Amino acid sequence: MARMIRLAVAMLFSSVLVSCGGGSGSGGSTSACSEDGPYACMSGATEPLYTYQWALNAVMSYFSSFSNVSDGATDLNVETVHTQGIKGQGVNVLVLDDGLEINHIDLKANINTSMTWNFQTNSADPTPADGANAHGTNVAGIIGAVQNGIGVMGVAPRVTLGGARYISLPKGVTPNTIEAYGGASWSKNADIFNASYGSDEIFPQSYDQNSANGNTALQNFPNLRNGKGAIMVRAAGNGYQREVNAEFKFGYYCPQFSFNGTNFSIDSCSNPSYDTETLELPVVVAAAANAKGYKSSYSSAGSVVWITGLGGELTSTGKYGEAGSAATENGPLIYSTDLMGCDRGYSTFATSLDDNPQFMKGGTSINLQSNSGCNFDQMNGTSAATPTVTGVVALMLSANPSLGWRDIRDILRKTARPINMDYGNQDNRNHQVNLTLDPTLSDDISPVLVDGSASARIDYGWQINAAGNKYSNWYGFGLVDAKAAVAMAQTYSAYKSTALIVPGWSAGVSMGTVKYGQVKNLGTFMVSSDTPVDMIQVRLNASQAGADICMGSVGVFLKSPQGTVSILNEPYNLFYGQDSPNANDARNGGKITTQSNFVLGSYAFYGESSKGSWTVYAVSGTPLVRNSCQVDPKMNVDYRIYGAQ
Amino acid sequence: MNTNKRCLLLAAFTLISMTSVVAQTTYDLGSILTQNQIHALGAMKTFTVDNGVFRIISNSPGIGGNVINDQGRVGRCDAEIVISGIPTDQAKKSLDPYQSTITSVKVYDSLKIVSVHFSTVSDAAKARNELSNLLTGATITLPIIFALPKAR
Repeated sequence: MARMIRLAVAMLFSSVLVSCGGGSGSGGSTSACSEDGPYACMSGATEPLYTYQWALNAVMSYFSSFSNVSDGATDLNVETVHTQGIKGQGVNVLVLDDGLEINHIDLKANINTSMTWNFQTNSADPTPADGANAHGTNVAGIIGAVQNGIGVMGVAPRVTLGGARYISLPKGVTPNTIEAYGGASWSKNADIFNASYGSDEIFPQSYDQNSANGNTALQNFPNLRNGKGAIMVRAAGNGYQREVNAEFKFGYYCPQFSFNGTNFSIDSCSNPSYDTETLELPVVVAAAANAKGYKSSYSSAGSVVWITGLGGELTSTGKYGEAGSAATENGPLIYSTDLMGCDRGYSTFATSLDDNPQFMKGGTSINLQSNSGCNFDQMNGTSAATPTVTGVVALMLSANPSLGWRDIRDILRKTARPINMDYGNQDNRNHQVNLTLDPTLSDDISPVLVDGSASARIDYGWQINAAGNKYSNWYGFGLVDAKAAVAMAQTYSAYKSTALIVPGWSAGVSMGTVKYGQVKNLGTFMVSSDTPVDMIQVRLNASQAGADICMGSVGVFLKSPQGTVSILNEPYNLFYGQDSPNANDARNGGKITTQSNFVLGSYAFYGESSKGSWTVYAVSGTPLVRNSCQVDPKMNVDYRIYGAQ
Repeated sequence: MNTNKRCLLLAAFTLISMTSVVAQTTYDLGSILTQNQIHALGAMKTFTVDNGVFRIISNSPGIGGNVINDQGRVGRCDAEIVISGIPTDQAKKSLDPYQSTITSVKVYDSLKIVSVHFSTVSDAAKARNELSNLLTGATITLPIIFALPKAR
């Protein structure tokens, strides 16, 4: 009953706002409302849990009065899009995940069961049997929970949802990736693929003709949507400070850098490009930001990040997630749909209050008041940030279905909001790192790479490249902006070619000597063609058999002809290892051989001319003795450049 | 050789065989085998694709099996090649000489990809390398999976 009253009040409130020509928070006209139905051009204020959905409207959010965890301003800037009646109509989103509860009360109306599959049961019902597999149901709700006066609302509440039980399958069950990536009848009509997953490997992955077939399917995404091309939005990963590898049963903190007696965590332990599918152009890699408007503590950073969504902080406690401080990795997460019932999903009777708010624990007074059936919960991670971006793309395609896959990337890039502009100067990130065992920070803050130096900067913060594009390894081109993206989609006319030609590899640097503990200019390569750069990739191999290179120590920095320097790989990364490892920790320093084909990419040069001399630097830390890394190994560097069209 | 000795040898042989079978079936994708583990596997068939040499550590006809790369890392190969970048009809026609070793062909029109399964990993590798030289403009891969994605 109480919920009914709240709903009626909320609908009245929204109606008043609509009739006044404004939406809560950001304002905006609804005079041209084209939506039909009982919620036409209403904001999510019709939903009882909307006040906790800070990513949809921060200023009106419950959390806006808790300044330690929220700035009361950071959101997707989406509400005025909703009050225009643009809610994802006509757009198909496929959630590839650990399953999807298709009969969920707040999802069912948007589910198209001809777009669902379960690779475990080989049936069309992706509902997971195991109550622990609630990830996909959460992801789906962030994208497209229905506006119906129940629970939460998705970023695109009228989108059509499909999904598959594709990851977290029992050992020995291997999904058919081509079928999942648009090859099957149930996947081929997807406009957007949401991939809140990735590969977190402890050894450098090989990227070449013989890798997984997901890369081949992704390279052929431009064939989908009748040739307009689909995109995949993919999670950057949660390994900035630590990597917890469930499969190999160890948790790992990357080296910290000591300065005046305090340790600083200034590099990203994991790198999104270690997941080779992030290297395909139709993949939009999403990082995560919190409710304070800066990078979530866990969000992996790297030069293949395209955009930032909202994923909340690491730990969330209190009544709804308002307790603690973002400075200590606390704050609200992204509210969504959970597997229904208090015995399944993330919100259960057994949920611990040590790292969850009362809302999540079945039977608490707050839970009984706001979430009595445990059908809703909150979730974090780049897994949660990714569907916020997917939802925005759905709104863009709803506003303009003619957009091709390159247009979608372009609009996201152009409308993204650079945030936290000074982070490169905070927490001593602007100090050079002494490239020693147990690395320390130096007093030197020069960004210049000096050949032979024993120290170098390993974070440049935001940079403006020679084409005038702002780029950051933390945020890509910035935080997604729904209002600006949809507005640009509505007036977009400069449609780009959807063809994707995968360039061949060119020989770049041969036999460049890596010097551990030093900055080393490995050499240069000349590019004669004058093409605006989209992504540049380098392919790394040891030059000599038996002289492997320990990539856990080797940072790879690339300097463009126009002088922009991008960090494609940081030293002291996930592969580095530790002196007294867990018995299950099989890392070997990240050795690559003459056959490894280890590939890294960068968007930092976007729009710059490819023509001229490119310089490759190895900025190498000192490896652990236990990894027996060869002294002065030689490296071959091949390259290829995708042109921006 | 007395009965007891024969029994002992038989038991030892069975144990070794069982160990070998268990070893082959329990290696985790992505793990790196030690030199001792690799040595215990005995002689293995190899194949080369581009600059990579792989050794086949198990193979089930029509299904594929596990391979290791030059670092001893365990991957799964389904004895499948994937052809893209050319019209699917042309890709299918190019398969005529391999009919005796092909177990199934799937055409994914939406992606313009043809997937071909072979009897063995060796057959697939041989076809992949030959077709790569014949089909100009085509991308032909022999997928080897070293890791499965995980939720983030």
